[in-house]
Amino acid sequence: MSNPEINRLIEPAVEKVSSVSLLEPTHFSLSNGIPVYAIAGGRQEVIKTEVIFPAGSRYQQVPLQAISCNKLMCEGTQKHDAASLAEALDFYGAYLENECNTDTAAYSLYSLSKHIEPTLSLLTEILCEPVFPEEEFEIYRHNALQNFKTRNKKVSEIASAEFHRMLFGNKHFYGYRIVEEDYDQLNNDVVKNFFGNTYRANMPFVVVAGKPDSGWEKTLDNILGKLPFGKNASPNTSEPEDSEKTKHKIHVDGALQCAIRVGKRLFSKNHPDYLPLTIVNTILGGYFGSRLMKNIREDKGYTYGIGSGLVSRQLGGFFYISSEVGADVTQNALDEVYKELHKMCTEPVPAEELNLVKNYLMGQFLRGADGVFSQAERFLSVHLYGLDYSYYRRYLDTLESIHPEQIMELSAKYLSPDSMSELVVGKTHV
Amino acid sequence: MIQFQKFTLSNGLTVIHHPDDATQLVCVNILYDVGARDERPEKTGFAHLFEHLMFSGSVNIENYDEHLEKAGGENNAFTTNDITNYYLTIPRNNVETAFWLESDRMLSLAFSEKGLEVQRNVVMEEFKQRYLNQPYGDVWLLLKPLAYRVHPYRWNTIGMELSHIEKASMEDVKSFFFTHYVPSNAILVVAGNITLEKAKELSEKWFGGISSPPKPLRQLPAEPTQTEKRTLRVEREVPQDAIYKCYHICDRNHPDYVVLDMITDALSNGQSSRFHEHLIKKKQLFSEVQAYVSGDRDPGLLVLSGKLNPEVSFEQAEAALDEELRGIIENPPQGRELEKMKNKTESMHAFTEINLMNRALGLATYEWLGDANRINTEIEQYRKLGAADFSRCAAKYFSENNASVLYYAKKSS
Repeated sequence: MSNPEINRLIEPAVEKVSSVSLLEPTHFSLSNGIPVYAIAGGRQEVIKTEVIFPAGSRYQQVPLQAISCNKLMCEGTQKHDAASLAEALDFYGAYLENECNTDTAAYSLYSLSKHIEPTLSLLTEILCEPVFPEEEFEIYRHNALQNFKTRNKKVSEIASAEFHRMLFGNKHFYGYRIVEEDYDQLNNDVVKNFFGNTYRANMPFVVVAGKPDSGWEKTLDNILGKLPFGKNASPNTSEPEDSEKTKHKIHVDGALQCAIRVGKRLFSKNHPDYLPLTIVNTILGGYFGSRLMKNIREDKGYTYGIGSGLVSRQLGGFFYISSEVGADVTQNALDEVYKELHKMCTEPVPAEELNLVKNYLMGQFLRGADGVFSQAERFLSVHLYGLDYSYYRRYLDTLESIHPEQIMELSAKYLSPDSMSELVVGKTHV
Repeated sequence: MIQFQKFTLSNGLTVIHHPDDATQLVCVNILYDVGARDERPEKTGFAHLFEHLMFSGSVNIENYDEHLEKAGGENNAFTTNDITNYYLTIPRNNVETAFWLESDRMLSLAFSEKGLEVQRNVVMEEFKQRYLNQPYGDVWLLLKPLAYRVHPYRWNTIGMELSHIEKASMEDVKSFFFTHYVPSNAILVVAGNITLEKAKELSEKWFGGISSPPKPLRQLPAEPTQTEKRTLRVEREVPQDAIYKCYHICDRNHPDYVVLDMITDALSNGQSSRFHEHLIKKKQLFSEVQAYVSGDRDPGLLVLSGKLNPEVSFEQAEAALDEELRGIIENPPQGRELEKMKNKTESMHAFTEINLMNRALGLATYEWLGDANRINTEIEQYRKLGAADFSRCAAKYFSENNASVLYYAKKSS
């Protein structure tokens, strides 16, 4: 029934992906000194402008201060109230994305190239003249609390928050676990203060990507370049204290599945072992065909998904394994997790498996460079750590050279089963 | 403007080629014209379970994922009421591996007992994770059978109950495969850094020899016109009351569809939408509230959903939603509001098309709906709309007799 001339048992020859082009951004400064990194390209007439501030939660004095400020800046400026600001942006078909993590906070404007000037002016208003109306604050606080309560009913959300607390401690900004009372205690003055102390006092930087109608240096300078920004960052740089390995269980009535987390504190991207360890992590739990997925999902059927990851922050990082598993097989799943960790530390990875992972990661590298917005993200993910594109060249070299013994050594050094903390959230007493 | 060429193999497989030399990747997207609506009422959840089984080995290839990953590729799949869609991206020099893998699993599967057993468990865990072990996770399990009494849209893609998945047998698997996973029932899109000649050559080489029965006929019972309002009230362990009100609307290819889609944009797309301005900001009745159309191939639903602020009753919440719908009839979008909505549509279109996979999926979906070129032309239908269209459609569809409402109440402690 099939084409007799082809032999389906023989797979087509697979070539190694070799040429990867790294498109580095051009760099210039605006009249006010703000650095801009620009990547031009793409077919669609669109531009993404991202303005990044050192204004993440690690700069805050009270819980929720950073995120609330980030969300409320776009709820009214000296010239526009919240409704007319939203209407003006919507009118041009533009949209804003505001995000705030532990280290940085950012505003991104997605705009059609032809409307970049009026929309960029609106973004600039938001970044420079927010007025933080009291009634908008109350609506935000109320809705954010409702949202928090819903998330706090999910075993996976509880597990993530609690696991950070276990690794970094409740006193540290990377570990603090938010509680309902934090929303009650929040007030609009602390939000305003945060704006003055971070967004206003510090120098942001800009990443712009897309297809400009004409040169964007002039456009950006005409709008963003006129604005006053401070130049002194006063970062809260206290590194987290070392944490002891712990085991913890949280019971949730009626839960059908348990969320599990296994992991430990490690380091940021700046550490020399971070790079090779990302490859180790991929083998263990970083892709669909990983050992954890193969064993715990595809062989045992205990879960819909399981994975592991390395998370880098500016002042540290951690390793985690995470899954949601049937309540009755929680211990079995954990046993298998530790078996896989043990195997990583004691047995060299078979050549064929390593070869597969190397090729897969090369493909991932290509996918991560596909499209102008992805290129911008690639820039950011080194620039935020004070690294440059030599990081990627080192990555490609490591991918080429890493060998089974090295992987086993790295695993034994960083991923030994008895060094891991463990958390189970769900139906814990069966 | 998305360039593409379409051709059909002698076995009935439709192939669409879309070139893009700005990328180093090729995207291969295969849409099978089979979804949850093609299941029997006593065997629901099957199309989706089957999607999982497509990764448990094909007739000549034991492990799909391993070979794809070795060639630098990555893939995923999803199942809806109407279709099952498989997509992958792969570095362009290894594209033949994608043809080899996808054609082998269209030819036949390994039908392994172990694969079936494991995927039954995986899907049951997915059922728990996504539908049962989440606040508000069972909303659609309740809402669909309320809105639909006869048509297979009355069940969800995950299935009506866990037991249907538990009982799925190898016989079911085989008959499902040989009926639906045939060339005449599929659309293959090859997009990215590959020439038309190469796409033709590889399609012919790997898919051309797969024989095909005719495209399966579909005879689904039509949902009878609803004649009175339906309501359901449940209590759950959730932090907030929530309301879901839905109306039967037209099918995806009906001219009213774009009108209704745009009505939901006016209601809830963006921070300056009517819902956001009136219901969240001014009246402060909801902490979040949305409107959307289901976009199903057969007559679908327009859904309004919102989470109520404390002290707000279901009656108040529903009355406010009703008032917004009356607002569309009495004060339809026009002038600057209409221009804003059209600009947003245009911009959304541009941003969606940045991504190669979105373009490939778009071409496959529009071809499945009848004409791939609608990926380029449908936006014209949106541009032509005016105030009278919104009033007319709102009056036609938004009647209480056509509504089903789910009151999802917070359990009183």
